[in-house]
Amino acid sequence: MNPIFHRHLVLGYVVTWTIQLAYLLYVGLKWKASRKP
Amino acid sequence: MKLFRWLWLALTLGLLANGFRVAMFVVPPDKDQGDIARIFYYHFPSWCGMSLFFAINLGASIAYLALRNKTQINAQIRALKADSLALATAEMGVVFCTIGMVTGSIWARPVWGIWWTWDARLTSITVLWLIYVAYLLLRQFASGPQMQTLAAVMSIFAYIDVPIVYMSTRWWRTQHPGPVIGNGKLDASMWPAVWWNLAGWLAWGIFVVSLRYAAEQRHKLAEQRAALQSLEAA
Repeated sequence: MNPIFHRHLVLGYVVTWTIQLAYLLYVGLKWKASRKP
Repeated sequence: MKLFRWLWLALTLGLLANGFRVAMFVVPPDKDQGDIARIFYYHFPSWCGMSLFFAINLGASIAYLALRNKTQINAQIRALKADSLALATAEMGVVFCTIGMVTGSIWARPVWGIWWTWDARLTSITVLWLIYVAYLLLRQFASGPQMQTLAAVMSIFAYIDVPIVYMSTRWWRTQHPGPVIGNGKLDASMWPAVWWNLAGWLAWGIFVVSLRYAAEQRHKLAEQRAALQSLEAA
């Protein structure tokens, strides 16, 4: 089977990216707020 | 600095894209576990990222404690920088720790038949996660220099659990697999995926920490300026 269709594997990779991107969004908002005069 | 940051991001995304390609389509499936073992290529870098950023958090906290009472302006600025770095690395460490726990649990379901068990490794890592979350809550909901000092001391105590987590699979019999790095247990065919993803996720962590650090540093300086202005106005 193509590993891209392995349910738990895909779940693990998606969860990783979701958490990292959510944190990046939080940092981006902090970054934007800190640049306001 | 801006150009360097963009170049770093491009390098990071390149490493992660290639890491994904190698992990999914180049290295063979594990002979015992099959494709689910590929989750290791995201699980392992998360623990490395956590260990790196908690270690930097420890160093920055010690530096803050050493510099905070010095009267020279340079020392004060360095203390401020150390405190900002401590916050940024603690947050990134908690993110990596969370991912390590979640990916481990997702791997455990098809391999062990359970999502979670309270063995020494999983219990000690949960304690570590809770301590650093408490550290971040302290920083979020308290304020002033005493909070920074308390947070720095707390981070030193928190770090004591890091070597306990690392050694737990050696000291106690655990459901969690024993060490596979540095003892020849990891099949040679898996190493390219390990290295690419490790490099990619560490580069990602450094990129995000640099943004968080800069934002926190600007926030602190703005607070100081506002305090000075209100003193001058009084």
